[in-house]
Amino acid sequence: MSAAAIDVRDVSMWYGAFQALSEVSLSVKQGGITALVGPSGCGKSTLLKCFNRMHERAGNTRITGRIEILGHDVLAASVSVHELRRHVGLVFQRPNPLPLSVLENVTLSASLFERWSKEELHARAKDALQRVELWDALKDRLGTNALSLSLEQQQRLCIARLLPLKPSVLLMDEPCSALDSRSTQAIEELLRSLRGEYTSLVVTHSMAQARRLADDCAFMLMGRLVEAGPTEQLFTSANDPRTRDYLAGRFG
Amino acid sequence: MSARLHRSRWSRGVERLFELGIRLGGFAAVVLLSGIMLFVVGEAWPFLLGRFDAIEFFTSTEWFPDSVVKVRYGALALFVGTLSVTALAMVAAVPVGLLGAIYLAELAPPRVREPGKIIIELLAAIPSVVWGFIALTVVSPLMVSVLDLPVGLNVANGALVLALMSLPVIISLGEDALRAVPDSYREAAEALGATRWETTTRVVVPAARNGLLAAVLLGVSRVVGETMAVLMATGHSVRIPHSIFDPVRTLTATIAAELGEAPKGGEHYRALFTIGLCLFVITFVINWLADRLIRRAAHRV
Repeated sequence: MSAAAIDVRDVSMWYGAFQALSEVSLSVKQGGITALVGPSGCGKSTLLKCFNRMHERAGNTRITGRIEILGHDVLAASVSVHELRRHVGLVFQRPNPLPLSVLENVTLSASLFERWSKEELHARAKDALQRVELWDALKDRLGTNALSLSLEQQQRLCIARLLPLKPSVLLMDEPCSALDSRSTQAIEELLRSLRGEYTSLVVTHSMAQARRLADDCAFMLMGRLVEAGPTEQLFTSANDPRTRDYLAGRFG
Repeated sequence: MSARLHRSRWSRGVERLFELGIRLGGFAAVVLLSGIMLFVVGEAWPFLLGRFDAIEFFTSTEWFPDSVVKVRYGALALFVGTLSVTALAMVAAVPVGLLGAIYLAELAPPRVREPGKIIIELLAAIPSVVWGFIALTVVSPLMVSVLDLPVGLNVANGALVLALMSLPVIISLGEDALRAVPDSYREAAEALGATRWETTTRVVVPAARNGLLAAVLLGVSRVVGETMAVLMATGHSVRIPHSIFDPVRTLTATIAAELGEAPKGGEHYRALFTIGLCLFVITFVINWLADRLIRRAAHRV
């Protein structure tokens, strides 16, 4: 199989005195979709945010262990979080486009890191919007406020705005939980179409979604990683009884 | 059970009384405010219908309301006085105020922010006559000795004092506008790799734009309506200033200085009320603009 894109070794993380992650180790394959599943509060979103160090926003956090993304130790003190976030994009639970125009939303990230001419920026925005299938719907109103779009369009836009930076990893924190089932289906299709090009990590509390979408699955419980492996194998013949019980819906 | 279901006559009576009290209070506020407006218009009315000459009033600088030879009411110099002092005060106060608001809202650690806000709001509580006193006894001699001017009471002195007076308004309201920007915007920008400064300039400030503009406009209306401090700081000379170190007189200072000597009900008295009416219109327009901007800001989020 392909090489590991993300390699997590013995990561423990504390918010103040509360330990949110305990000795998590996980290897994520390059180019695939990996789902992080588990009941609320199991630490799956926290783990996701550690990958681009967004957990540091909470203040008063402490982390031990090692996270390597494409061979780089991202927890090292010398790493620039701004450069890191450029390569490891994050999509939030609630679509959170910025209160700017559609075009400004898509080009903001690229313009932070390099100087582009107007035409280049526009071309990149077009590429990104075409990639998430928003271009045809929005090409005539790139100047409208992004907050006026539908929730599904907003979430597509939030994915599109990461693409001009050519990130290596896309992190998604329950990207469909604010959407209805039709929009969820549409976003899932989009994620499938990005497979291969990007390594995606998707946090979800929907086991059905994990099964539909993910190549691999990792099951977390109380801040620990219980079991990880290919999705079908985990759903049909998990080793750990807790994994079997959770995936069968016996607790949640 | 049945006794609990029905409220006593006493409790219903108390509630009615409260309602009545609140209604009377609101009514009184509206009546008093319209009363003041009617009073100002009423006192200016005979002058507006009679002696008032719009061309003279707005284009002539000859303000001689108690001349024995020929009474003249040219208020242009007073308008220019107010405008020049206000404009210069804003040139100084707006950048400093907005940067102060950005610092307090976005960059300062909590242990600086809280005391900082309290101190700035305390500055707003200094009586304006005390500011005038500072202008008269500190700024003026300083200007004379440092800049080698004949007099230290001029546009620059008044503008400096007014800038200091409007800073608390701009900083405090500007900070409120910035803090009202949802944290999810900052989070989104930071997740895209934006630094603190980029997040502030590219996302937070544009999102708070209308609120910041409203803060500036309310600062302006505070400055336009200010009387005591400018009366003491600007040198009290009716003329169009040629430099910021020329003395001027503002609309407000004119009313304050002359109303005591104008016989009640006379032409001069009514001319001063006409000036008051102009001030009323100016501040009303500014506040109305600020209010509309705040509403628009509230709608957008």
